[in-house]
Amino acid sequence: MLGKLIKYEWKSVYKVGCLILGAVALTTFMGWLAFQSPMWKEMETGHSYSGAVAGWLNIISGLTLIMYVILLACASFGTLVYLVVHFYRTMYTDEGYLIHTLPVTKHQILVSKILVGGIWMLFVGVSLILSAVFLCMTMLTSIFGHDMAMFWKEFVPVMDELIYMMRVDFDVELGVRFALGCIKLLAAPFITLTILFGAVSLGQLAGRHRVLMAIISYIGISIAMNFVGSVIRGVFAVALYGNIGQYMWVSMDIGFLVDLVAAGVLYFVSWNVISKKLNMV
Amino acid sequence: MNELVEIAGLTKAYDAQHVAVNNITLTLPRGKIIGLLGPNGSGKTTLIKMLNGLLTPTQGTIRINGQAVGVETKARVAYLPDRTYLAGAKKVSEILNYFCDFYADFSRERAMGMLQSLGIDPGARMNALSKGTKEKVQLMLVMSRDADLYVLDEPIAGVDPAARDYIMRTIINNYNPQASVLISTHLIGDIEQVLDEVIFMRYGCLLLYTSVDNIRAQHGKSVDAYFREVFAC
Repeated sequence: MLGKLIKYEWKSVYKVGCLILGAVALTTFMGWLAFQSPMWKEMETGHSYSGAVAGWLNIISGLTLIMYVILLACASFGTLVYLVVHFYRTMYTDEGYLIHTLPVTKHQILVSKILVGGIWMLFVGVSLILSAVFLCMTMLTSIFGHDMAMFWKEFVPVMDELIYMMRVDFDVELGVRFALGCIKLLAAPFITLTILFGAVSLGQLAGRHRVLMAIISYIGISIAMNFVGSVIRGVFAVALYGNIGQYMWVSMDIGFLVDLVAAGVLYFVSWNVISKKLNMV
Repeated sequence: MNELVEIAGLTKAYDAQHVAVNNITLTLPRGKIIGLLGPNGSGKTTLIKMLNGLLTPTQGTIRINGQAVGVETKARVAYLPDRTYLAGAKKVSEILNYFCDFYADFSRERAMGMLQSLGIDPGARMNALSKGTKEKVQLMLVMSRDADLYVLDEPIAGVDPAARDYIMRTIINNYNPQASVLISTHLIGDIEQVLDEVIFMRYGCLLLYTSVDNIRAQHGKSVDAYFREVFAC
């Protein structure tokens, strides 16, 4: 039954997901277009293109880049908001009558929603990273032009120095850090959604104003998570006094672990609400 | 085992002042069409929602086929809510696929036959259908299952008289001796001819549970007339 739930959940969100991916592609194209302005050529050649047309192109280029940043932020935030609203609508409004009368377990319902939503958030996240990398490359090409070889010639030694510094000065195992970073990146969308779904479910325990209560729950959860994280970081700050590199990594790990524990607790909260306290009024 | 539904000490209180269902104990047999009747706010829909696991009882137990409300009972109970619960963007055919996938007892052939009889295009989207047609689609989905218990909350409230006749015929035709149908409605006159038993509810309490024949024999009245007498304002 889990497979069927995933199939139908996928069917119900993929159109909006594809729309957001399309918007990211379009925005990236706009960003690329912005870097075709003479302004960037000026940076490469030092030659100043004068005239009203060049001036307007530069203004449009600048505005397009601002729009690029705003639209990409909207794509990320919009995906999250859409998935949370979709969860609320299909679980706790009239549409919830369908899913809660299916012969499936509550775990299967929750897992299907977290899995499909998390995968779409991952897709959007990866598309945003790719877009930013593509635009950075476009910017470098626009500025350095034919001197890209020289750019790489300078870039590689700087990176080598940075890696050396992290390994020697900050005592960081880069292989382990990279692997952990990948795991965190992959887990983050699922953790974020589980926490948000938990907040929505907590809101359903209220007799009235359930959406408002869900928002208040989320604010409360965020404050609690930050507080717990700060306390643990404080303990480690004392223990690792003087070793700022180590503390920096431990601090990031603590943040991830707090998120993970919160997601586990809130998954149980969601399960408890739909199993034992469901009130479809 | 002739008992299909066993309800014991069932109570649902939304808050201290608002008790929607108050300590109901009731056993429903197999093979009956039962009317769940009562004025507005008597607790009919609350009771139905608890049978389907959409509301958590404050106290008491419900057992269907000897099992507590859960995955197993949902596989054997076909429920028609009193509202439109299907997503508007979905096509009727997509909803049929959905029901086929999740309910082992769903008959696509029967569903297609009913759609044809009602003149509903399987390719139509739900949000393009009228309120009455949406209700017919929902009823078609419920009655296309070979369930043990059919729970219908106001199945004929929003449809025209001709469709009501069709719905009543559908309920009778799809009825089997091992299954029971629980119908909640205000339109008693329209369904009285198909009812075997009736449950009267008032203020969340069980007022009466008896057979239709008993009402006619004891009071010399139709169920509709007796209901009007009992619940006269």
